[in-house]
Amino acid sequence: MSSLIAMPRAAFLIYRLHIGMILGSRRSLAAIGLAAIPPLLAFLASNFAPDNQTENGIFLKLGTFVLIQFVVPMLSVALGVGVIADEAESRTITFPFTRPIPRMSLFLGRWLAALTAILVLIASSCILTALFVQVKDRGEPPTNEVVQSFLQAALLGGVVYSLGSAVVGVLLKRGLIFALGYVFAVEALLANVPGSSQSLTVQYHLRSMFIDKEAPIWKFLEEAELIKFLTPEEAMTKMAFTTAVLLVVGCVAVSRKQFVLAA
Amino acid sequence: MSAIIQAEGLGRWYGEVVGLGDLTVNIEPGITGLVGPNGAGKSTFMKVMVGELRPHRGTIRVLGYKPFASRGLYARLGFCPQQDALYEHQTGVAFVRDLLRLGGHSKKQATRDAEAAMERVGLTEAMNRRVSDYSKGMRQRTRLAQAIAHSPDLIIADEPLTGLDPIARRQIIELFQELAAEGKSVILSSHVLHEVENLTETIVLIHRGRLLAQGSVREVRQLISRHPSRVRVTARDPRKLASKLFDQPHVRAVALGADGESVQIETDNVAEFHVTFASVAKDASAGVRSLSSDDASLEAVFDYLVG
Repeated sequence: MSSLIAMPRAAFLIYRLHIGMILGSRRSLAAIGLAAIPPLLAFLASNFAPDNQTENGIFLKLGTFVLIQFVVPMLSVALGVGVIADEAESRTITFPFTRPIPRMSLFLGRWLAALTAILVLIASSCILTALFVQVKDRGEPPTNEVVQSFLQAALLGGVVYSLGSAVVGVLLKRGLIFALGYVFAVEALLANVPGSSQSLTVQYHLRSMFIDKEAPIWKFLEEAELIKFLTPEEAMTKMAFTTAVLLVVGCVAVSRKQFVLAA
Repeated sequence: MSAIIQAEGLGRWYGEVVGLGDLTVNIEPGITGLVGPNGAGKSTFMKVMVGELRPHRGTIRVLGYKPFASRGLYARLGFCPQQDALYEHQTGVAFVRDLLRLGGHSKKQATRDAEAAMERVGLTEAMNRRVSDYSKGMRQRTRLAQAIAHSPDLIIADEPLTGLDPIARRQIIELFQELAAEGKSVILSSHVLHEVENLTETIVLIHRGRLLAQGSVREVRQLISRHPSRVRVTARDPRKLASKLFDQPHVRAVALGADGESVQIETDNVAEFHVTFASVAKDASAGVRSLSSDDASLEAVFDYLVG
């Protein structure tokens, strides 16, 4: 069977197999717990927020600083870093690797399966957060456009972070530690340090996708952080390019790497 | 007949630990036992054979293919790894079926072949249970089922008899013999030597990542004919017998057994020893009760070779 046919076929079969594994794993329970944080906070904020907080304001803050800055990268790392690393750790990688399939199909199939779970959880989290923000007589609730732009940014973040984590899991033995270190040290800190160094982070690009520069609520961010955000189209293009590079690196790494498994 | 495995100067190490030193070996079709003590390099050699690892030095061809990530080879190879790992959420038959599907089988064909393979390894009744509920022996047989299900030309099995009860072991030995009769080649490793001896005459002895000996058990024994053999004699008066045996030119060492009734003799020439022993025993009047050779099994051959 030629690679052109064998690869998508094998990737699809592995995708189906891995989806079953994800649903039955403890890690997915942790991921569901993470995804539940923003809606839970939205509910709490709706009941206990100060009087000057509007529904829209609560959603934007939770969306920016909890969903996109914390939940999206953490959830993506939790489910993404094990795409290949879990199979190597459980020592089952021998089975697909001794089948007549392109090795990269294992990476693609398993990453797509993890990504499906990640995107479903992120989308649910974002939509439930918007629904749970309900403060009577405090301005307009978040509009569909606002929720939609957040959702797009969060989903794109899920794609990039999960793929990056999967690649790290292939390349490094302690991929989880490295990925978490990156999320906390670079994405959480650097993205909030005023200055152009922010543009090195994924967060900067995600924010560029949902920040409405004309809206007063975002003025404080541009002024406080002394940085010009990209247009949504520019941010999307850069993230798409990053995704493509990571995909190539992941596929090549899996095709060439030897996994030394303990007996 | 061309060799199914052609390895030349193979070297593979893990940091400073040598897995394979300088292994040169050709393996012919049929059943071959790869034997050696724990840490000898058997598993490393198998991992290199199936393309899980690349050699750091030397070359290897398996069925004519360079094994690392070779899709051509994997269509003709079945590998039963040593590690006790399966997809725990699946049933035994689903595990084998899904791996067959990865190999290009249609769903119908994969289901049929998976069921047949589970039947061959004696798991018909348990095949619809989750593998997480399987015993160690059943898990071992499931790994074997996935290795034979696609009817490969070559089956490589790393310690396939480990963890099996005697009946299952018998079944699996018969299965390997059936596969060989069907024209398949089987390479299996073990450090329990009599298991291999029950299955095949052809062995490859590995120690510290190097080839120590290769051939039939008999050929290997001839190879070590220059090495001392051990004989155990029980007698009414072993001290008297021992003192007479010391005088024999081909006897290298004599030791009294801890039971007080036996003598352990180490000889350079076991054939000559047997010729002269009767007259020595008669002279000693030690009341010889029995005589046995400690190197009657492959285990003893192996002990000699690895020192």
